[in-house]
Amino acid sequence: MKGKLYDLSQVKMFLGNDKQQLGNMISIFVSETPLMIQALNDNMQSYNLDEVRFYAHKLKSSIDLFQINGLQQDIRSLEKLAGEKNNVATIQQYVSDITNTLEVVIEEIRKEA
Amino acid sequence: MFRTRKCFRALIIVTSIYIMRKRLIQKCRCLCIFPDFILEEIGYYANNFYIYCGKTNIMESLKVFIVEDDKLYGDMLRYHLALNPDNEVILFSTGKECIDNLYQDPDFISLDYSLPDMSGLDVLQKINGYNGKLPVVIVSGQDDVNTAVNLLKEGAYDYFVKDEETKNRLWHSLQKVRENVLLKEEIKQLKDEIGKKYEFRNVIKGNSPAITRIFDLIDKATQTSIVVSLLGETGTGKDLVAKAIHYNSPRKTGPFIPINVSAIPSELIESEFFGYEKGAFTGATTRKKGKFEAANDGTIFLDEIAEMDTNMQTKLLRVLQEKELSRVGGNQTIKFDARVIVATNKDLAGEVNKGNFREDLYYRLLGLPIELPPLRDRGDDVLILAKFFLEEFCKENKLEAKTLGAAAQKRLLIYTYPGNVRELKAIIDLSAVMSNGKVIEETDISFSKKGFTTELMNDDDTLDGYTRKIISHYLKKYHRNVLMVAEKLDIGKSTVYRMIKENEL
Repeated sequence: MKGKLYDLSQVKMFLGNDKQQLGNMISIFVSETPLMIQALNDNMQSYNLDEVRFYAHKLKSSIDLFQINGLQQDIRSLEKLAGEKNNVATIQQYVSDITNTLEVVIEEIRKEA
Repeated sequence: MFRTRKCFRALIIVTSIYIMRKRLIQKCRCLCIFPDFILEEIGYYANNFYIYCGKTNIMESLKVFIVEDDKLYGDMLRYHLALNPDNEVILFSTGKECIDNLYQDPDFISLDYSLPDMSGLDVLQKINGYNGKLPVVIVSGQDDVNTAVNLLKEGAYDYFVKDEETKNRLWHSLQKVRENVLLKEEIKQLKDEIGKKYEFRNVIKGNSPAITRIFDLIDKATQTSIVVSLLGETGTGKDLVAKAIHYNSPRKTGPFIPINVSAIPSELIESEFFGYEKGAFTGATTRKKGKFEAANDGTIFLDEIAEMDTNMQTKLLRVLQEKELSRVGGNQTIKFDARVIVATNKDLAGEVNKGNFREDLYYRLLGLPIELPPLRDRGDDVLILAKFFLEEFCKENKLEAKTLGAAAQKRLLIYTYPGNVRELKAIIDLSAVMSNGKVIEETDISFSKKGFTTELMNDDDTLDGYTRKIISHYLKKYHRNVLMVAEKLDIGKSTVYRMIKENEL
């Protein structure tokens, strides 16, 4: 059986095991993250790399907070490459991978709420 | 009845400790839960409890703005900072929202560097334009030293990179800001207390017409930032009047910087006044601000201004005209905003005539002239002051309270006090020491021979003889200023001219 793609221990530590606030945080993550993924993909399609960098930057803190396995380094690489505006193929690959992982994580986390 | 009152008081103490927040008291007041007199009791005990806990006063809550477009992160910070019930935390998702709400006067701002509508730098500059003293902490996902340095140069209070420690760092920053706010409140309270201490009618005792006129002038001086020149003999209380003007003026929360011009060697005066840069001269190992810079937003009091050498007078004139200065060894011009009060016991106009004082500086400094009357012209103020000094001396030295006997009072009134109020204080202090009982007797009072009126009245003379002596005395005293002599003697100036001519004075 595969392990979880995320780890809530840091959020819980942050919130001092306040279950109500944990529920609030999860619901914000579940509602806000798809909007950011959508914006990331839309900007990727129009090759607006400044905005890709901006949304990668914004997703970084959520990915760190929910300790989403494998994405913590990827999101940083995406932010850096988009800022440098070269290697578009790699940037597209990162966007695609990050999108797929986050969609799975959102569904899993939704069940925790 | 007594028991009921005790129970009521105990209930109030418990309630006070439970409530313990001024704002809750205000809310209770708004909701009319308790009548006012009970709320006042609660406020009193809550305050005392805080003092008991080592706090000086109940503090209003700190208003904290979090500017963060990442809803998740912003909400987490809000949750964390709101764990302290003294923090009122408001979350904004754009720079514009934050700027539009600055009118709410936040005490602390946590600002995300990367916002959708504006950069963190733009928002910081706008906040600084509104209130440059507002602590703004930049919270950024960028671990970039150059960005951090630029933001700190622009006046950011601190710069944190988003990680698991951010919330704790913000918490500690906020604690520091809270401590600063408490310290500032404490300083303000102390300044208010000093202000009350220097309420001029408390400081300057007396109700003679001469001193009442001075009260009116002080009152006028406190209402604007006009330069004030305090003139008068030594010991008339020029320094007290200067402090009274400062602590009763709108500048009272700023510093009061007194300088005795005659006490500073001429080679050091420029660096004392205007400061110096590192390396400006041998021994200047660090940059130092001068007294004028230190007095910014407050008052600088230049005592014994007539003693300033002419070279320094030129520099002072330029600084007062331009309202800007350069430190010794520096090129940068520094603006300052300090009220200037000067004092001298010399006849400054006379010093101008003698060429010892620059005429242009004289007119620049004249402003509102306040001539403090000598004690001998203040009639019964002598007794009011004597009683005050006696009470003060007994208190300071833990002596039993003493009073002035009738003969002692009479004796105090015949002396002319060349050293003015300062001399009277010394005479009273000595009399309190010499006195054996509760009443100061005539014999306990000793004067220096210098101040007796015997010179004029000892020898029998004719009315013309006395008149001649009086006119001579006043001409000498006022440096042959006929207008002044006429005013003092309440006679026409032509009468004075006639007497000078007739008596060959």
